[in-house]
Amino acid sequence: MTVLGDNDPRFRALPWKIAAFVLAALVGAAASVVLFAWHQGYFEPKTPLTFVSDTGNDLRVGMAVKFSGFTIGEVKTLTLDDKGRVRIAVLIENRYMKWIRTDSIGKVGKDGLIGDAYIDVGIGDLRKPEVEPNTELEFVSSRSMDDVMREVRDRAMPVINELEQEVHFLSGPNSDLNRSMTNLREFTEGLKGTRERVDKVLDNLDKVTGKDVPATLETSRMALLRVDNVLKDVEGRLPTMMDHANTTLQHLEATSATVHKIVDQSGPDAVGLVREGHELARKGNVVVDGVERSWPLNKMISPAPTQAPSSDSQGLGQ
Amino acid sequence: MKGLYLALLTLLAACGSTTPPLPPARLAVRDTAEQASRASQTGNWHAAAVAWHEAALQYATLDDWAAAGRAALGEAQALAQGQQPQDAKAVLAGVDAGKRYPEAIRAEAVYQLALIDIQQRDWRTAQSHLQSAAERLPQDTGLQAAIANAQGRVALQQGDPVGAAAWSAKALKLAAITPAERANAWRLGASAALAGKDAKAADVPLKAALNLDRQLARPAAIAADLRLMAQLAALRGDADADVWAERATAACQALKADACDAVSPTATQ
Repeated sequence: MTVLGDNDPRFRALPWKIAAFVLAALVGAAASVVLFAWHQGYFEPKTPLTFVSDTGNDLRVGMAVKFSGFTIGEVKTLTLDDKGRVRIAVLIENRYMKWIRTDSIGKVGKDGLIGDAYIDVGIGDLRKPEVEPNTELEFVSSRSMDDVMREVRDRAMPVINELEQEVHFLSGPNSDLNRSMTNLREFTEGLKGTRERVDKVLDNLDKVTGKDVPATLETSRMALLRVDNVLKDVEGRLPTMMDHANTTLQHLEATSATVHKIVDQSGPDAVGLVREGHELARKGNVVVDGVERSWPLNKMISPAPTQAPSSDSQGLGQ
Repeated sequence: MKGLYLALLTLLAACGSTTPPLPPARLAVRDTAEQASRASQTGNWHAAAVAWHEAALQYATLDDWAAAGRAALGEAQALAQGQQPQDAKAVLAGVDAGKRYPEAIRAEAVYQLALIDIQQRDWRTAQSHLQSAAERLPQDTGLQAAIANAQGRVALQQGDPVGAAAWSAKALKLAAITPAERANAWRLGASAALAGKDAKAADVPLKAALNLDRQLARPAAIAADLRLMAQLAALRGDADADVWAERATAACQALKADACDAVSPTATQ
């Protein structure tokens, strides 16, 4: 017994309807694939270029080539030339070729500290001509954390050594500064003694009789002469001392400027890398947490208990 | 190809389901508690004590005193295992005195105090603490079996194998007994029988304890079972007594030295 009669109008030309449906599905799928491919730039005409690098670290076939954050092409092949350098053959979409000039330089960039690496093409001098197909462009290797730290150390160590020498020079017993200070102290002590003697003379002045006047004046003259000598001595030495102090301060100033320069140049890199590392770890935790809670992983991973188990009565552990 | 991946990913995402995300403070305390738990499981007692302490503080900020109390018990456990019994006692005394904690948590703190008393061979205080904990806890909780086993342990140490056997039997009668405490009760019964030179009575519970401990993968308990099996075989004059002895020694040597020491008082009378 048939449920629906063959003469049901809905079954008329059924094979053709099925064929049309299948055909429409195939056309739809093909159109989707073509659309995706078109979106991905598979139909874009491309121009081959070559970068030459000292190292192939962080490079792989298929990695993106970006310009100002836009993907403009991809790496097709990586080969070693006769000199052992790495030749990076890339294909750049023609519409972006106008931005690449003969002095454009490629380097490895990264999305985050351990994110996907890509080749970042720097903007060249727009007054220079556009590059021809198969042009060889310069490539600089990216600096790793190690490189940054090594550079900081290599540049900072001589400065620190110099600072150390300066400090030794300043604090040593025979340093100009110390000698100057000693001289000044002696001079001050000398002045004090002289003043005491002058005071004494003045105190006794009213008791001086006529015959003592010449002797007293002679004593005063001698005292003033000594003061004069001391002052002359100081006057003679002071410019030299000041010159030395000035030179030393200039050294310190120059050293300080160098340190500042190093910190300004390398500091942001190092600080940035550390901050990026922290941020990356935080994001990593969030991602892992999210993945752990998603199906089907949430069925496979059993989290550690969040409550302490009751203690075993025999002290034997759980 | 990228499009295909994208389509597959979309399909997978559609099939996927995620549990609702926890609030940040809950996530933080969950992470701390998991960290503490892992440290306890790996025997990193100092780290475990610190993490449980932190978890207790975090639970307190959420006004979750049951969880805060449990975390404090975890801290005390870690301190006791890490050879800091006085610090552990201080934490437990604090929990017991804290009216903000649920009564069951406070009673469990007293039970843990008793375990430290046993460790310090202070039998009288241990008995007093165990009795208090048993009175304060509901009868249908699994901890009652643990308390009975601890009482049996004290009885055995005080030279009362009959009393120990009675405590073992009481623990086994409790419906809420956990598998680990069931194995402990069987071992306690076997130890009591061995203390009374009754090899026949020791045989069945000891084998049952060994089987269960193997299933539960409790190394220190297995070492204790093997030591008793060696004693049993020697008592019966079995031909394989030396094999049991060798297994017990090897298992004990494979454990850390302090874990082996912990085994001895309960394994032998």
